[in-house]
Amino acid sequence: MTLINPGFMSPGRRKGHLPPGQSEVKDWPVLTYGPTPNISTREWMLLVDGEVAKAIKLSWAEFNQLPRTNLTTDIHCVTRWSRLGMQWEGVSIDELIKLAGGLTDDGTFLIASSYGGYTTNLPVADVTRGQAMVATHADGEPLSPEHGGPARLFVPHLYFWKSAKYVNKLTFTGHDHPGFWERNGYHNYGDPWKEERYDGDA
Amino acid sequence: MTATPSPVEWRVGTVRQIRIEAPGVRTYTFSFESPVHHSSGQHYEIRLTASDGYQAARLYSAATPASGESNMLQLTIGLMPYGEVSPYLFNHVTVGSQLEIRGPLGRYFVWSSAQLEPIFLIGGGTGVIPLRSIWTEHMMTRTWSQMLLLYAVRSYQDVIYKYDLIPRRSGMRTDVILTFTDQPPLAWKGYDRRIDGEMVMDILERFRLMPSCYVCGPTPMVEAVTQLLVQAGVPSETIKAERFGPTGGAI
Repeated sequence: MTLINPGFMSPGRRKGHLPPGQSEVKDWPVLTYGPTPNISTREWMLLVDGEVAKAIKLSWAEFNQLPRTNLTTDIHCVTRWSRLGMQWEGVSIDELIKLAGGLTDDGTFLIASSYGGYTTNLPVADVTRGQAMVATHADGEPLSPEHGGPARLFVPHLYFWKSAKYVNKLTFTGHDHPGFWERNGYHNYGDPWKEERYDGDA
Repeated sequence: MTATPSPVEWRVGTVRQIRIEAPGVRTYTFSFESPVHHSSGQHYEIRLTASDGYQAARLYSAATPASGESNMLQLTIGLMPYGEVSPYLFNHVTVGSQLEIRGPLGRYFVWSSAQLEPIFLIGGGTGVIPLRSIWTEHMMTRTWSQMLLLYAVRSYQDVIYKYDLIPRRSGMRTDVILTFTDQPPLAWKGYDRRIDGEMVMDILERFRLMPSCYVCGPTPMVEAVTQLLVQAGVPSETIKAERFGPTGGAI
């Protein structure tokens, strides 16, 4: 399988670093569809289940002992703001899959679920090979609750609603199951460079 | 020992060390799961893949010999500020990063310790990279044949492999001849101009027999130097040339 080099972009995408229809912001807007939940790291749990060899459940302490990964990259929100050159840190999805003994042959989609009931769906090919993580830090600071702390999914090459805040469960499945926004009028895949914003775009 | 994989297959190399050689020039040390073996002078290809499947690849010369005894490869890479691959390598790749690499490639611009004739290596700028690999292998194998390296470089700070090519004790290596084409160091007594006919004749006179020549550098430098060698009486079939161009790496 071809290795993917995180942060390497095709020429059309590299130019100016802003996908079509996006504007750069220097601050970090907060967008959550409901009230911000306050999750104590004492009760925080991450479950990895579905099409894996063995389901695993990690406490905050166990999760923080896993090898960590870094990505310096841009993020793009469907509400048309982008932040450039952020530094993110967490545990790669590859590492979590490895800990769960690997995917079965049927493991082709990831359904991420969060505290509060939010869900989002992604092809496995978009979250493996160093492209995604469960992030705990941005720009060197622990993620605050309004930005999805203590931990959120991080998939920077897709619109940011795919990077589920407060993630607590990664379920690998053999079929796609549209998540919260994907059922509520947003695009199923969400490539910012193709402006896949809403259901029906391209 | 694992069998050496095919040179055209992509292998994953993990960056183990990044050494800054000069402004815009770095040496990356990679480790592989299988042994690395090449002839001095050969090059490798690095390929980058974006998440949308877009790919770009460039060729880079090996900086040191590799006899298959280790799994390590050293490539020296010059930054092309408007390039595609080197800016990514300089800005995003850190120790621990993984890259797809294949090689060794090219069996023309190579030297082996079985060659017993004298050798005249002439490098311009980062064109010295494959020549340094040849020069190092010559030192390591203690081949008795004569080898001289002429290295044309803009200024002292642009000299790469200083730790190898310039000894710390006073005095220069007599087998490495530098010429500074832009800014020679203060009180420099050596050559301070582009390679010309007089310089080539001076150095050719130090050979006891007519040497085989290896010329590597930017295209205009290679064109000029190979012409000078022919004019000085070196048979053209004993001159090997490799041109480094703005598309990056060896061509």
